[in-house]
Amino acid sequence: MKKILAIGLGLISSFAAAADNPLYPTGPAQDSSFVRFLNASEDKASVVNGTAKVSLTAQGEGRVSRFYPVSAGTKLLANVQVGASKLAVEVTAKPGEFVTVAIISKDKGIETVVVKESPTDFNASRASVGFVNLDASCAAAGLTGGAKNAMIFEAVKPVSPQRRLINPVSLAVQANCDGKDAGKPVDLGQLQGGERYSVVLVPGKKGQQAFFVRDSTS
Amino acid sequence: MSALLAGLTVLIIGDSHMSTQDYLITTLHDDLMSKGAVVYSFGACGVAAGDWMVKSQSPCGGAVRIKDGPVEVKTGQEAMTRPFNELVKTYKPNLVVVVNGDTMASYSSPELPKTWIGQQVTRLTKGIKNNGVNCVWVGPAWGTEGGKFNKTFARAKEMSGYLSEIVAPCTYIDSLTLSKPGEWASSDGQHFDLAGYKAWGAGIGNVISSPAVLNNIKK
Repeated sequence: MKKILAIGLGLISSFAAAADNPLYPTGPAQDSSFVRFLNASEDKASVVNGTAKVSLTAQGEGRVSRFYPVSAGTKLLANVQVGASKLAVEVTAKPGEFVTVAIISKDKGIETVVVKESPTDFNASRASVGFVNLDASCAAAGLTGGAKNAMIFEAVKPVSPQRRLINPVSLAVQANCDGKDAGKPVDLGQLQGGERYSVVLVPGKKGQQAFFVRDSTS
Repeated sequence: MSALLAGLTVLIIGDSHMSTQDYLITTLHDDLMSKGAVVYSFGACGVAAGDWMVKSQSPCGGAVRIKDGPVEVKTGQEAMTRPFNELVKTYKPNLVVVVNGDTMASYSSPELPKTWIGQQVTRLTKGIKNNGVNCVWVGPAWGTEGGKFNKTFARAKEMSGYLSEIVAPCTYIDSLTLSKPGEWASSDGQHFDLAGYKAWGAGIGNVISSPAVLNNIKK
């Protein structure tokens, strides 16, 4: 009996500290989700959601918004305007998704294309480069680059982005469509480890063009 | 006492496993000191990895231990993370040990929140990279299934596998290889008795003092 009591007291003693641990959350109930707007048309654009308004330029870094955190499963509504063309957009993100609402030119107006990614390639030592083909007429887009003009992406279908980790080097790339150069070369400059980038191929009135944007959440 | 880690200054930051006397803040800290390292330990219970880049309030206490001093338990508003850049500037470590896994594994949720975890980890690993300091990242141990945190072996394995892919430039220490599932007794699934923490601390210390890790550290 004494032996049993001693073992019991020993167990109580050994768990004394652990038993005091308060309950705390071990992470969020739902994964983070984000939505951004990308102006791939040939004129400046605005996106209005209630009282919030985002202005996007036609060129350079200002053509893309940052990724805004959103509640997964919640329907988001916004109005997009380029010149006199207006369009209502409705988008819902799943948990963990990064959603890009791309605005592209179509005939005399615009249309929006929704691109979704669920990345798991986080890495502070390497850069994450994605390739997004927004040209519906281009069945198989590719991207070459680097010192040896190596194939970085191939057979990228419209609205089905691909992504990979690349060493943080200085990088210039050339997009292609069905084996032919598409648009001018794109200089991404010196890539930074831990940063994320997207090269985007879009149709245009004067032919295809390619550009890159940073994928930023802040 | 050995001199295996002589000349090494180690900064350990971590979650609940580093926030209570007789947890890793005792056993791992002791193990590295016994091998000759100078060790500074900071624990903040329940915090995610990215919280270490800024001053963040712990929801459940914390602790600090400086060199061969005692474990100083912090409660209430005193239980905070300290910004990583400030810690590196103050203590000038050759090696940073991050103990963070359980507090991001969302044991009560059906899905592992990979995007959120990736962002939390990258926030800290970018800070580590920018400071040019070597690091190892200690992932979750098996624990026991159930308990008030709803930990499962499957989720511990999934979390460990995911962390191993995203903690670069840190070297990942897979705690799952240091014991069998359920081998270390736990009252709540996550936290161990002293014997468990001694085994875990010794296992981590052995990996840190192995040539694979030690040869890459700039002293």
